[in-house]
Order: sequence, then C-alpha cells, then structure tokens
Amino acid sequence: MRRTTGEEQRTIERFRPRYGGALGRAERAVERAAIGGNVGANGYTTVAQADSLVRLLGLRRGVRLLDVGCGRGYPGVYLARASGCSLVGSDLPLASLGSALARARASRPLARRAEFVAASAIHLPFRPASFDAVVHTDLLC
Amino acid sequence: MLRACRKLLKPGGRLACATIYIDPSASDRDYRRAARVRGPGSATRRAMTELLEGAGFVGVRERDVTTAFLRTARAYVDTSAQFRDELLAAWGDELFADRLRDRTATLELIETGVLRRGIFAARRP
Repeated sequence: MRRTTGEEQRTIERFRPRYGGALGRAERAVERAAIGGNVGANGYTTVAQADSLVRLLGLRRGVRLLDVGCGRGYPGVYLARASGCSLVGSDLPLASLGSALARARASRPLARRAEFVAASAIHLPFRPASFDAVVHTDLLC
Repeated sequence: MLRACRKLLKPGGRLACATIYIDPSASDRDYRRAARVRGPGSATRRAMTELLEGAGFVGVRERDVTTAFLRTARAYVDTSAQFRDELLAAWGDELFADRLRDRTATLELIETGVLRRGIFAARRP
C-alpha cells in the first residue's frame, strides 16, 4: 500500500472540518439556498448544473463514471441516481467517503452500483481506459 | 491530474469539470489576492482550455457559469449570517469564522470580476 505524501496529508487536514458528522437544520438550509437541494454539496455546483452534467457526460445505465474528489458524494451519487450509471467515487478524507457511502446506500439500487476508493487525484489506482466518463467539480487542477 | 484522467478514460470517453479560475486579465495584485483565498491550485495563468488540450483532450467546450457562481456565493454568505447562532453551535467559533471569511472573500472576488467559474467538457480521442 502506498504511503500518504505530505501534500496529501495537508489536503486531508485542510478538508477534515468540512466532512464532520450529520448535517443540522441550519446547514441543510444553507445548502438548499446556495445549491438548490440537500445533496451533500460543499462547493458551488448547483443542482441545475449537475443536471447539465448528465447530458454533457452522456450518463445512462451501463456507463461507468469516476467522480474524482467526490467529497460527501456530490455530484457523483446524485448523477448515478439521476442517470442509472454506475459510480466510483475517490477522495482522500475517509470521513467524506463514509458520508458518500451512506448517501449511496440510502438508495438500494444505487448501493449495488456505487463504490468508493480512498485515493488522491494525482495517484488514481485504476486500470487505464476503465471509465466511460470522469467528472470533477471545484477540485484544484 | 488531467493527464491521469485522460488515461483512465476509454477512447471517446468524456470528461466534465466545473472549475473556479482567476480571470486572465486580473492584475498581479488581484491574482495574488485570489490565489491566497482560493489556494494554489487556482493560481494558474494558463486557461483551462489550454490545460485540457495540453493533457490530450479534444473537443474542449466551456459554458461560463459565473453568474450562477455569484448567486451561490451570495446565498452562502447571506444564509450563513441568517443561521449564525445555529452554525456557531454546530461548528464552533473558529470553523464558523474561517468558513465565513473564505466565503465572503470569494464573494468579493467574484463581484470585482477576479474569479470566474466554468463548466468544461472534453473527450479522449
């Protein structure tokens, strides 16, 4: 198993507070006002923009999608639920992956076609040419 | 990272990324200010289109979503103030102050035309 680099550890620490426990009433209200729904968002991708990603990426049943830096599962889980595609989400903070997994498991059909991997965006542990679509939102390039 | 994404895609596979970036015409002072607020990853002078093509993608298109970005940033700041007491209780003083400072600075940078946001789409040849 590859050891976490110093840069990756700094990223984990930077984002750790954003992926705390369950969201309260106020946090959900803020997210609804800013994003347009309660979807596990932290950044600036609105629900309307996520809907446009379904079309841009040609997502549908049978398509395999990778969400790099999936955070608490947005937009990956939302996209998989909306389109029927299968999903692999990757991120570094384990707390965020736990939240993403819980969101995917909340929908039984999606739980069978969603998986999550702890990995940095630089070192993605997947076989070449193994995805039909890749998405990342508000991630540092 | 973009090169790694291209390798993972099947030929003809599609990439979409929603990205905050510093307006290429920003002054050096604004550029440094934005880089401090948004972190080093947004501090590139190279356009996203150029980065995607450099990573081997083709058919690169951008949809500018800066207007929605401004609306979202303003909603974050306004509702954070509206729910201040509950958020302070949930996050604690330090995290609340950090988040509000970050969101307020981001809003100011959008309002002054320094930060933009685009949704980029491209495919692997």
